[in-house]
Amino acid sequence: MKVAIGGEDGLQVLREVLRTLPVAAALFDRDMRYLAHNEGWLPAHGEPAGRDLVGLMHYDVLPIRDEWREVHRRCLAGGTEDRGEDFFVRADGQREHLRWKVAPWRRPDGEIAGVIIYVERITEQVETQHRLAERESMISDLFDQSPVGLNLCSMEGLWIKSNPAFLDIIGYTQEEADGGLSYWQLTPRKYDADEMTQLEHLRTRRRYGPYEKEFIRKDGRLVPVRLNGFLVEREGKAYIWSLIEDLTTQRALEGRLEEERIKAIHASKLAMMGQMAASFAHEINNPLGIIDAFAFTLENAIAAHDAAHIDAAIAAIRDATARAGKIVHGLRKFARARDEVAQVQIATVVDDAMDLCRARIRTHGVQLEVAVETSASVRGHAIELSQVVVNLLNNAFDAVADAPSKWIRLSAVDRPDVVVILVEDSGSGVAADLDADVFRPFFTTKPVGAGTGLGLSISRSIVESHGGTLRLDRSVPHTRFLVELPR
Amino acid sequence: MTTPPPVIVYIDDEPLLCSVFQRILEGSGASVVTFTDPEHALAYVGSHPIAVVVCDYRMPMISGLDVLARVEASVPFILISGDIAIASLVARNPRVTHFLYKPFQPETLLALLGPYLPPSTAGG
Repeated sequence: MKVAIGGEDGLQVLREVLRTLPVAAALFDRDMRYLAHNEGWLPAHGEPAGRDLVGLMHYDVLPIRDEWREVHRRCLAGGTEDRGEDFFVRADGQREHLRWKVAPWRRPDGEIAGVIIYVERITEQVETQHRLAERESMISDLFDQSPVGLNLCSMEGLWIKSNPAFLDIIGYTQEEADGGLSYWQLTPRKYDADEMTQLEHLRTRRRYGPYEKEFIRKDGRLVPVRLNGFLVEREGKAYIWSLIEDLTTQRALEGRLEEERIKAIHASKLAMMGQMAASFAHEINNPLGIIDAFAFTLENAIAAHDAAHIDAAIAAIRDATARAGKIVHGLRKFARARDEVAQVQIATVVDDAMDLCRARIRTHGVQLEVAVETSASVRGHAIELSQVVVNLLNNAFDAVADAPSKWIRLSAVDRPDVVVILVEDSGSGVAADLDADVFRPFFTTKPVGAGTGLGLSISRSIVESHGGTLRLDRSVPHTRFLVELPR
Repeated sequence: MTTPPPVIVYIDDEPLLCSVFQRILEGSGASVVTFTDPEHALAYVGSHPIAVVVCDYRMPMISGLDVLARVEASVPFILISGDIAIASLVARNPRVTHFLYKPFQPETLLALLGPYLPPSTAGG
């Protein structure tokens, strides 16, 4: 059965069709005058719904730009046009994103009577898309430009994504890195145990690091790096994101600083020995005097066949030579550049220091009491530690030079976790406001030429590099310096 | 009864130096007493006629200059030291008759002591 719709019925049907369309639509005559439109039409253009536009001119109702008017003209001439994404500038200047289609409609005789326009507002979708694209490009810029190496790998260590900074660190090309290179190929075996620890951290805390290790570069060179990373999940599978910092420059800088520090320690030690030169000279002059004087007597003793004195003179000469030799040996040992890290007996540290200081202190009525009540040893540089003790003894000697009662006490005792070396003297003490100053470089209360002002600052640096502390103990009325070293 | 000849007093905390100079100076005909303890030396010097005192500067307890301060001004005093730093200290002290740097040769000391040695051996 054929159903014909026309007249009032036809208009009603048209309105129903428009009302139920999932998109906004409007029907125009040849002059672009509204014949019909649905509720969605105005909102699709960013205008409130509710107005009846029938009989009004399209171009009077909405700010239609020339480009669209051209489209309308072409469609009135028989064309059909559409755009997947276009924009419409509202009267208030705001931009709406639209998808549209314009097609002519014809009378029964085939003549074009006007156009029908479908519009879908896609502003939100477009804006979301733009935001996503922007974020994507931001992240990819960050990934590409980051000076920190970034790498995504599977739990098995297979590399999935590496940024240019990381490729630079390891010296491989993008193709090589993406072509099945793995974390393990670039990790020296000596890190196996550390790697297991970091993997355990990943399992328990979902993060790892900061972890310092080396990678084997493509050229075989080892590059020091610091890693930090975290676990991510994608489609049910776990991956590791790692941030990799190249520590080459930092290590070189640290190396240079350490070198400078060692040089300063050595220079300070030599300066200190220079100040002690007079006492060393005295210690060597006496044996020399003995040797010369006994040699002088030998001439007569030989002529007189005085066998007893000849024996005595030879014994005295040999003894004096040995004494002078011991002093020279002690000086040579102390003057040596830095020794290797070793397990160092505190008793040895004190003995070596005493070898150098005895001459200086054994003069002009200074009572020196030495009490080593520890068999502890610490890990470190023996000569540097002796240098600290020599420095403290030297200061003590200078401090008591003009004191009415002259004594110096050097003791070493065990305390929980630490071994303590104490150097106390009967000097006038350190003025109350100089607590911090005495440890500052170039600070000295000694006369010009008598001190470099570096002794205590260098000593503190030495003690701290051994994980210990050097401080002035204010709990006693006299001067007491306290060195604490972890056992 | 004749008064004993004035003696040379030699003070050094080093026993071997005392014993060897005792022998050397006695070999030159002088009367010599040596001391390793300056206090004992001072007690002796205060109660005996002394030709000259030879004394080391750097000793435990008291210095050679401390000894000098306690010796009568008329007694000649030869100070010995290896310490260059005290040279200026000595230069300012008119009481020091001679200053001798360590190490020195026995001949040098003998030459300085010439005027205090018995004439029979002096210059010999």
